[in-house]
Amino acid sequence: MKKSIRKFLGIVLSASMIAVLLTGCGGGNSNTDTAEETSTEGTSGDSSDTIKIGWYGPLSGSAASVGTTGDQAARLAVKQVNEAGGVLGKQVELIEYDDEGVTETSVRNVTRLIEQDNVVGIVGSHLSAAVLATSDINEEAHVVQFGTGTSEIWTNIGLSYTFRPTVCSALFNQACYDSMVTMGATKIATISAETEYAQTATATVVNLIEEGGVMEVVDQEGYTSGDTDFSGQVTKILASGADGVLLNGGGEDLGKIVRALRMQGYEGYIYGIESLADQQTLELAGDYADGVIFSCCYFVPQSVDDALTDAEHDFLVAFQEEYGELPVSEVAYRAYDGMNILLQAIELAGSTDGDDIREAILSNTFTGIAGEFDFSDGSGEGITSGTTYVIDKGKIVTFDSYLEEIQ
Amino acid sequence: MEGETEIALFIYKYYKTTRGEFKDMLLSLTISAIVIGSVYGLIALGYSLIYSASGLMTFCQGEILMFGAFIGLTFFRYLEWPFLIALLLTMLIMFVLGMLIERLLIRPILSRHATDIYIVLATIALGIVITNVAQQIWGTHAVQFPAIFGVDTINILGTMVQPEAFVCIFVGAFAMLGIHLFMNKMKFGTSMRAAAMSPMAARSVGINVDLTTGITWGMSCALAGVAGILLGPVQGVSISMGSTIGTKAFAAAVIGGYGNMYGAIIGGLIIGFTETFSAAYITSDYKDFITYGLLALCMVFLPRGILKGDVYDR
Repeated sequence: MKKSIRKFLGIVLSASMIAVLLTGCGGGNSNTDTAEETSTEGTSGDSSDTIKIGWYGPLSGSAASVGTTGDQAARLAVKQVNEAGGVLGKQVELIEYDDEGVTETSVRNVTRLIEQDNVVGIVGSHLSAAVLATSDINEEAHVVQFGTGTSEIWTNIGLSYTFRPTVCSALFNQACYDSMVTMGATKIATISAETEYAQTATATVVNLIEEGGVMEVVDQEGYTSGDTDFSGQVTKILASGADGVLLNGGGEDLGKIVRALRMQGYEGYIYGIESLADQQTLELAGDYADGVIFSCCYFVPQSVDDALTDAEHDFLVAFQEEYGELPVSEVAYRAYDGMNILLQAIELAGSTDGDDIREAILSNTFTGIAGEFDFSDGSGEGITSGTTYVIDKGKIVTFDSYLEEIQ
Repeated sequence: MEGETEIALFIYKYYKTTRGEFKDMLLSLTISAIVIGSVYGLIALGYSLIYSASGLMTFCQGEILMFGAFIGLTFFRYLEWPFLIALLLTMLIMFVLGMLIERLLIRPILSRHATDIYIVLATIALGIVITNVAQQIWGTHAVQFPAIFGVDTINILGTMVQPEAFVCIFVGAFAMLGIHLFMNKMKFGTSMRAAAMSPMAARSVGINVDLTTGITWGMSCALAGVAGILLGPVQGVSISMGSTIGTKAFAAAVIGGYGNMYGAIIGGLIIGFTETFSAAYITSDYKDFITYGLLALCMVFLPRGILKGDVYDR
């Protein structure tokens, strides 16, 4: 008896491990196992009775937290549309793949979504490198993709079927530079992750600093996502005499870096763009987040009541009702807007043909949490609005109100 | 004269901090390197313990550390239990978890006379299972572990250090000495080493090899749990917290001499010094390149590590 129980437990454990290995470490085929197909009332019907939409992004790995919140928002948008009657009289079916934050896997995911799942549109990763890498595939197949990354690398490069449902970070970089000038910074040090997003954002601000001639860049540091120790970089920055530090990277890492900077004695302002608005940055930095200045389109408030617009409030209420908590990142806003614009465009096009959907996107305006979207210039960008915020005494306030308070 | 002034001005600019004080960068870096090196060393001890007492290699210490940190976080932050109780309970749970890993995963594989590579593969798989289980229980959000000692930083010769990180130095040193004495001076420890060298011979002289191996895994997991709890306030707790640190600790164990307790701590310090100083004096962009390059060089020229770790030919 004892032996058979032991044998049974051994088999169960071995089986679970094989399953996990297949899903976690495998190649393209492995994603079959991780794919979750979310279809509300359309589950019993034939697949042709539904409109298939794809989603891909990191649900595991170091970007899993933000990827998951984007996925949840996309699901919520699909659920709401299905409850309101669906699109073109059909229910929407969402097919989701985990790319583990690895670009090669993103490419396999999108190939599969288009060639095997026959999706009519895709809402893509918040990692711009993945959007850029997969754009060749959706462009060739004439399938619309709403990439939720904010890097400038994949817009204004002649893509026809790839759009951004949020504001490009280039705009935030300019606002970030402006805030440095306003605060009277003279010596700027930078710390950036090895990611394309962080490197591009930092390079943009460094260029602005060099062209502006008001400030100088005294030190440039890097780190690898998931690093635990930043003492070497922080010590060097302190020694450089920097009176402003620019941070670019993932929210979890930035929280640790803000904390390390403050703990080792840095007292100046810390500048950055939307990833500093991440709830994880604020959670990990805690009381040390005061004096962090960031430019972004929107950020997730600490409670629903702090929402700045009705659209944001309604989304947060629905999200909290569905998942029992607020999104961890504003990436949820991007995915929600992207999914809604895509579904509205399909309805307006009256067809699931990629060219018709593209025409509908270019010839109409759309309203989302970020504001009014207008994609008519064909660049892939639809909106240019952003605000700069400061964390002051543990609360996020607008830069303008902060300036009034300290003057 | 003018040149000297320029040099003096350069030095002044180089050493001036935002607070307008002179700070000895070398001293500050040394303290930081010792602190992070001790953390790596503490985790490396777990790798070495398992190897020296069972001749097996594990690749899931990082994930076990993360799991221990989350368990400690649950007791200390969410249930608001006193820290000491949270620590002891976490150690106990992690010890039992280690025993279960040995009993349900390692022993069945060994009993089929599988080669060591299957144990390595099984521990990699176990690491993924642990990460997924933690993700289901605690979610993917990174959370802050409250300060254990009531203060966030202490001033050591002008360098601000988190007390929890500082404690890692003492815990690491204590664990290193304790485990070394236990393994070499006590009967049970000698039994463990005998079981690692030749399980069959050990059995024939009455040593309970299964029990010694189980206790080894339990001790190793408890050690990773302690490291997780001490690291929590330093870097927060998240499902990915163990992956980088676990790999670096493994490199530390190899460089120091895999299976040697003193080697684990020395290897940890070498990694700590290498990455801190290369980030500050060479470039932070190639910090990992230099650190892992050192590991590669060590494997080529010193395959048994600095302190000549034990090599078991099972």
